[in-house]
Amino acid sequence: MMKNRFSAIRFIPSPVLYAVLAALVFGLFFAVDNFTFNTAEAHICVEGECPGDCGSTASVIKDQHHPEGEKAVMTEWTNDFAQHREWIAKEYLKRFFVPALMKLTEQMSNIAMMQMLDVGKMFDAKLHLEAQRRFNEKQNEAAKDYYPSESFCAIGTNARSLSHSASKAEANHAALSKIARDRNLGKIFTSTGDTQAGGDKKARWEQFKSTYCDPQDNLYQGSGSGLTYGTTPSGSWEVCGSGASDPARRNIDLDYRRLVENAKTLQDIDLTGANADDFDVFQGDPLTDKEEDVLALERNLYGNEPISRQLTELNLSNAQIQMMKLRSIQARRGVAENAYHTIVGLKSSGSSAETGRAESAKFLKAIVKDLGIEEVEEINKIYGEKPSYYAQLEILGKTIFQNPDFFTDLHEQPANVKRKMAALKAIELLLDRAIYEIELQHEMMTSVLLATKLDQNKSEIYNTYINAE
Amino acid sequence: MSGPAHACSCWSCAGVPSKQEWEQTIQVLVEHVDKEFEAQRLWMINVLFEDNILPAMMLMTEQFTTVAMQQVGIFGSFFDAKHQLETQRILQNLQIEAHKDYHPSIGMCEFGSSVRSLAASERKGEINTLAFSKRALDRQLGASYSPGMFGTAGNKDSWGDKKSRIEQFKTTYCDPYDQNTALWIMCKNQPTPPGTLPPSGSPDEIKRYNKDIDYSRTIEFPWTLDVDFTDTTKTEDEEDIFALAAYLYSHNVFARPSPELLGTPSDNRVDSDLTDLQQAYLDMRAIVAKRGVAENSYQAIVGLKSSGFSGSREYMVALLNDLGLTDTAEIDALMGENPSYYAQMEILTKKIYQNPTFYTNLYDKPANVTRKMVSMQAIGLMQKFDLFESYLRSAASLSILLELAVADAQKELEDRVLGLESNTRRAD
Repeated sequence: MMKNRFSAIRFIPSPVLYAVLAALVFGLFFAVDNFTFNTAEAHICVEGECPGDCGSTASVIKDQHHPEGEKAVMTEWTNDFAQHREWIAKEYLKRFFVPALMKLTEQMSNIAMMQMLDVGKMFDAKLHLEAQRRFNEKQNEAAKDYYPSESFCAIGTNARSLSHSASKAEANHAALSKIARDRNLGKIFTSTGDTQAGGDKKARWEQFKSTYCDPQDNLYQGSGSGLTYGTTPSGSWEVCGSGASDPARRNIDLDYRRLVENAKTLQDIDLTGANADDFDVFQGDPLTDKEEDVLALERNLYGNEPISRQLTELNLSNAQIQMMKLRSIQARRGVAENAYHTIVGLKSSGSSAETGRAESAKFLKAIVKDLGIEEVEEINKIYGEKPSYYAQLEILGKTIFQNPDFFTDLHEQPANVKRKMAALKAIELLLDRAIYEIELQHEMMTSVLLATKLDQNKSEIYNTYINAE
Repeated sequence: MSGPAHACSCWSCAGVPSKQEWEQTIQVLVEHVDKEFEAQRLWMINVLFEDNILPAMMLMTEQFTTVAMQQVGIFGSFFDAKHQLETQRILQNLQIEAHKDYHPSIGMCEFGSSVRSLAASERKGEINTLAFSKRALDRQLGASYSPGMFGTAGNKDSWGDKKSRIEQFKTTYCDPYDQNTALWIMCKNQPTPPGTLPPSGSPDEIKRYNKDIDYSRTIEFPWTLDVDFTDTTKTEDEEDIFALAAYLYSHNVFARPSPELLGTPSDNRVDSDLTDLQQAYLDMRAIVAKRGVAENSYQAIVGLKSSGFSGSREYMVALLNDLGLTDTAEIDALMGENPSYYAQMEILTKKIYQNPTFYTNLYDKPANVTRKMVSMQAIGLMQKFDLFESYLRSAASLSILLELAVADAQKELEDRVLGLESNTRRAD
């Protein structure tokens, strides 16, 4: 128990221990000092106050009583000192100092504990504050990293209907190919499906007169000249009278630039109303003006002379061989026409919200509007009401960057700049793919061109053989 | 203590103190000592301990407690200060990062400034190509007020178009020193001067010599052509590109058929089949259409280089100055007053990067380097789209070339088939 107490005392901070020890030593010294003083005073009394008469008395006392008295007093003092020491050790220290020191220790311990609690609370607060700060940092980082960027949204929003429009472009391409194939093959109910091959030209002449004729062509100098009408002594004549009813369509059947090249969207070209494979314009599927124009131009560009249908007796092998050769011509023409169909397909009307598909037209137009074209009608005229895949690609791949705002908007959050980088990479891939597809067509046409030229050489050699034989 | 001892020794010295008396004295002494000790103990307790040591210890404890509490407070202040300083450091870091991330860069601004009016210039170029295309078509079809309308209907040649072009050649493009000066007689209407060579013309005249056949000088080299079909002002560049186009495409325009022969008699004298002339007219239109595809490339290039808008000109000029081109006249000749779409793209995709400053400026803040990367990607995309358009034009031209080859093969084959058929009929 004592050991424990002493152990406890050891934990008291050193200044406390020193103070307690000093008090003890001081108390003890004080007690001994008082005692010595008292003894000296008794000695003076005996020696000084009775120098004469008392001499004999003193000797009597000395002889008879002093040794005993001295012994008794000394013993008493020894006992008293022993008691006093015992009292200091057992009573004074135990009853007063030790409890006080224990209380001090307890208080100190409590304080130390409390101090630890407080320090713990501070650690707690520190961690809490640090966590809070970390949250704040993360919150700010998140606010910075995930801050919406209008110009970035512009890219995403405008990519909305790319996929649908691309599919539509392919469907239109397929429909155009079918129309061309039917014409080349002289399929029944087509312009070339007449009993005579010349039926195609006759139909086109009529179409020219009613739809594409500009009466002021062919050296027009007033009535009776150009391509108008007039009278001669032998009667009256007329090429196309007052010409095409819609002046905007005059000669558009041979104006590739006006009809196809300059258009970003060939409005009203949508051959996907029916299933592209089943689409048959000559069986009642209605054509819009623009579709009619595109087909008229195609007839001028490819297969102006429809393939002859003068082969008879196709049951004979000789005729069948010739038929196969004619089909070879059709196949090669198909490769040539493919490029035209691709371009027209790319520029045909894109998807619209009416069909329940994602539509980005209004957002695309907003970009164009930002570039300074205020009138919606003008924008529609350029990009179409339903922008084509080509138009969408142009806006995403070019127009959007023609606005200086795109570059000033780059002074935004670095995370958004990186996102834009990724978005641009994606658009670049789209463009790369489109270029790759065109390159493949290029390659294919070159290869067929080479084969056709080689065939000409081959036929010369063949003729030489025939002549030799 | 001394009092009683004194009394004892002096007052009793008449007689010998008895043992009992001495014992009493001793008893008195002992009791006194005992009392003194008790007093001492009480003093030690009450005065020394309770009045002095205990309060001192209590004060000490209080002091220690207070100090301990104060120590906790100080400790807390340290934590607080540490946290505060750390937060401050974080804020400063962020401030520095923000300063670093959002520091404006001149290099970035160059991109933005050079893009100004790019869209407008491109659109103007597209409008110009449309006008050019219309003009080309009119020339081939002999439309009224077109260069191809000269001549006489029904005349088999197309002398009208050629005649006007020859006049233009004589007055504008003819270099009399060509053909070993034989062109003097044609262009100056005078024989070659004997002996010495006369001056060929003024610098302005010499500048245009043979431009009608020189694609490089007329189209390839200038970044901007003074071509603007949206106004009514005729410029030398416009004349030059038309003259060159006439040589490159449809050098010989078609003869103009007589309208009464081409037309259908209203009295149905002719049966419903097309006449040969009508068929030929349709064939002519098909060729014009094909030529349109061919000429489309030329028109596109002219459109790209036709004058645009001046929104970004001063920045482009500054850039060229940085590259060492400071001659104003030379800069004007290169990009004109209103730089074309082509000129702007030339700056954005080429010239900017030919300046070493661009590369040294890449020692910019990393965030700005990323921005520049995105800007270049955007410019790269614009160029790629232009490339895509060029590929499409090229594909269209190649497809027509293939069609012509196929048409030749078709004709050859059909001739053979016709021969075969007629042989069969003869045999029958």
